[in-house]
Amino acid sequence: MSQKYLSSKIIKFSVVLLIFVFLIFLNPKGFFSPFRNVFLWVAYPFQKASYFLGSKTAETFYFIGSISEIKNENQNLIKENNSLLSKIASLESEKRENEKLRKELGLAPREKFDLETAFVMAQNNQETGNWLEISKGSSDGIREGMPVIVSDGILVGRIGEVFGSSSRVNLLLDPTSFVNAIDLETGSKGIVRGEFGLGIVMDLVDQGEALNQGDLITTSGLGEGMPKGLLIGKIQEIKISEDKLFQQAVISPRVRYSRLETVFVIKNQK
Amino acid sequence: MKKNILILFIFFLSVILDVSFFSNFLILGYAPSFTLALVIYLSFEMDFSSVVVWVVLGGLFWDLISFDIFGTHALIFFLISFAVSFISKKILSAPKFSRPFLILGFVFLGTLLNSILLALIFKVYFWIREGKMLNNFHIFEKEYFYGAFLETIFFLLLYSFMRRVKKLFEKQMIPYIK
Repeated sequence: MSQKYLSSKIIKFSVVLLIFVFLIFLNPKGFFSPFRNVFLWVAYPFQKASYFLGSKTAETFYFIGSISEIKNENQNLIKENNSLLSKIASLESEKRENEKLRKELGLAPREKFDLETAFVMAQNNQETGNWLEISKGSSDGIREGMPVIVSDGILVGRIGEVFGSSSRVNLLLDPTSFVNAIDLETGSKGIVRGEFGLGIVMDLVDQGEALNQGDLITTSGLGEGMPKGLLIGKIQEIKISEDKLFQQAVISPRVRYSRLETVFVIKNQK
Repeated sequence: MKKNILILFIFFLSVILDVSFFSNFLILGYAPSFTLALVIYLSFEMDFSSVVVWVVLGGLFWDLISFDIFGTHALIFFLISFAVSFISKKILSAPKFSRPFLILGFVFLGTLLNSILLALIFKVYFWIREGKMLNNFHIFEKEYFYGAFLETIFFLLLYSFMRRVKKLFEKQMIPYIK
């Protein structure tokens, strides 16, 4: 009797496992989007409020944690302030030079784009899920594939899926994201993609091309809907691909994805 | 019926808190998960058959809100709940005073199992569906220990709240047990 009971339990357990395996490995892409759409629509106000509360609470904790450092920092700041005053004059000329360089290097100014401001409502920065959920969706004119930047024209990712009032942003760290990129200093071209375990990688760079540690990487403008000159990051490490055919560069991003609150979706170029 | 809706709402709220509130508290690359802690605690304190439906539902909520491969969290929560429930039954003869230590151990091990299973499913999924081997992505990383440790501390902070949720479950489960 107990053996019969046990075997029926094992059968039930195996059936449930099989259903899950089927669900995970065989479901067609986008099959659950309508369910997700409804769920996210219901969750929208809760998510918005809870992300706002979460980010403010985290900021407060960070502030409290840093109080002991503030006194020391204050003294250092007074010293720094004095020396900075003398540097202001020289910075003015550097600013003009910077603007000139920006033009020469082709870094895109924000004014060039038709931007849609969106708030981050949820995120998962852990290795298996590199996405953000933002507060704008199809009703705001957001479409799949649109680039997402932060205020300084730094690319953070692309719109991966659009819902009624929210969208998912695939961060550059995501292994499904691909962006055509260029090394600003040497002009070497490659493809920037996310890679599990490594972060952001610039791949498919010919062996003959030059890549240097510390070089800035920007979008090359090739590919649909991706403007030229959006900053991606800095080269941290250079490697050779496993098949020994190409060079790869590990890129360190210029933003901390876990601290993002507001992003801008590029809807069009003006 | 009211209690069922309330439990459903608790799981709904817990996944929202995970992705929208606790995700702001990323420590050493790990953000604590209230849903995971709740799943482990309920599986430890209650009968597997009484919690399995809610655990799977919590996992499906996580899958809907997290954009991860659909079914992943539901499967992982199901397996963790089964493992915790099965093992805890075997050692329930332990004296009452050691139960709080046992549950902490289960939270630690359950979180480790969660990270390993998540990585394993991703690796297999990308191999089967995309034909990629993801060589730089390992099923086991030492960082998982930090995550498990942080989740255990997080659980300690929320222990009293979890006990209240459990009481709610007990009240709701009485008709089923009869």
